[in-house]
Amino acid sequence: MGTYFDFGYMIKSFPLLLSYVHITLGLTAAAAAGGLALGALLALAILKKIPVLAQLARIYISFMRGTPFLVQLFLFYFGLPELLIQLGFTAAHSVPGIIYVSLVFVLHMGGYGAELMRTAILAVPAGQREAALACGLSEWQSYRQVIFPQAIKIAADPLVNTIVSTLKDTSLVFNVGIIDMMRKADLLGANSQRNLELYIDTAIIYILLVLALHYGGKAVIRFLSRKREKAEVQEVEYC
Amino acid sequence: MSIVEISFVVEMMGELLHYVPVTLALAGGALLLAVVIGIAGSLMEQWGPYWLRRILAVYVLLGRAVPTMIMLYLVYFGLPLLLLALREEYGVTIIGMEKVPAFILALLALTLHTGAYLIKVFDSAFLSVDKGQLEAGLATGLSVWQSYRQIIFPQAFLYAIPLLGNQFLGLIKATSIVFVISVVEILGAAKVACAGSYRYLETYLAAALIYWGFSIVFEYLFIRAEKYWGYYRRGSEQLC
Repeated sequence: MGTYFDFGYMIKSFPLLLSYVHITLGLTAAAAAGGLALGALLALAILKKIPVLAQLARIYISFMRGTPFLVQLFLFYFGLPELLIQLGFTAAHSVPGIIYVSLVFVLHMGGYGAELMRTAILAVPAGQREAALACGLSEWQSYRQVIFPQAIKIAADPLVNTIVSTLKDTSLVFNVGIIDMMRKADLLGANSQRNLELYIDTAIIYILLVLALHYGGKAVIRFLSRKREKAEVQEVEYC
Repeated sequence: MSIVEISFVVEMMGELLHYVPVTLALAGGALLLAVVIGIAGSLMEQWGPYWLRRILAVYVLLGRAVPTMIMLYLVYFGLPLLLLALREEYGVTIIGMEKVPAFILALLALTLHTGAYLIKVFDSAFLSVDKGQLEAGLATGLSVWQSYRQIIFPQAFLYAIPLLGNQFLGLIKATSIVFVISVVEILGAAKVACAGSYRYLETYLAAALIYWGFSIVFEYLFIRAEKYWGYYRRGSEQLC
């Protein structure tokens, strides 16, 4: 076994790879925050049936969900600077690559987030909004106080799943030259010829991150819904 | 020169379409193999011994938590090493193990990744079939195998179709990573073309359009398939 697999090397390189984890986490956080904001806008455009914008939003969502993340990464990372330069923004090449990559993550997550929010808002029974309006709440009030709290509850679990899969997508950014765990493993492997040990390390890091995000997300959802339950007289079960 | 030359995009799409069979073979092959893993794994979770169920649970967890990219590298670097160790230490030789083609390694990685998801899919599909169905099958004198084959599977399969459809669409998208181990498919070919023409925007746009087309077509086909087999079920219900 010894010559095929070096356990000591695997342990030794683990902290080194772990020191690049901030890139992974930063991209995931940027994707989650920016993507949800963009998703909310897109969902709003579709639900409000704003002409032209609604159709464009649908096409956008379909594109983002229908093409591989890696293709989007290449398209925007290599294509966008080219486009910007042709449009006259000659500074496009001096923008650091991580900015473009973050942008791709936001655009990608926006497509998934929009679909999630749209279906969650549609899943709230129409009677809820009608009742809110009948009670004299304004349109905005009925959204904020009646529909959103219910929609967020419906969307919470799939939202955690989407963020988890975005986290897993960060393992692709080394393809455009961002130095993250995967790239570091690649570089170290070129020297030591022990790629398997290094990729097992990255796999362990990703498994830990995914589990932390998954169970952390579940715990936050449970905490928030318990807080709401206290405030409400009786919990309504959504089928 | 316009910013995005449409004719070049179209021309590029024509070239990239030659690599569609590679993508489809990878996605289709991995789906078929993963369905076998999914059904077998799910049945073993219900009927298998305790130790096997523990192993399956670990596999499902790892298969779903490890990004496909890393799974690909683990298979790419791990399998040849494992085969080498088998040969040197135990003298086991399998034909063709000296140099496993990258395509097989890619197929294996995608299968391992999807298999873990499909065990979960078939778990819920089998759960969706009422327990009374099996009991009624046995009570009418069918064997366990017969009642599974003729009663449980058709119903579970119908439930699983949309989920399998999603997995297949995910697989088509996942095949875009295999160029890193030198299997040339749509994106790999696009990358090669870029190295010559430096027209990243148009080339990758062409690749994206092909994938997009696949997603739209297959999504439609799976909805049709669900309706087709769904009609079959509803028809039989009316007969009763």
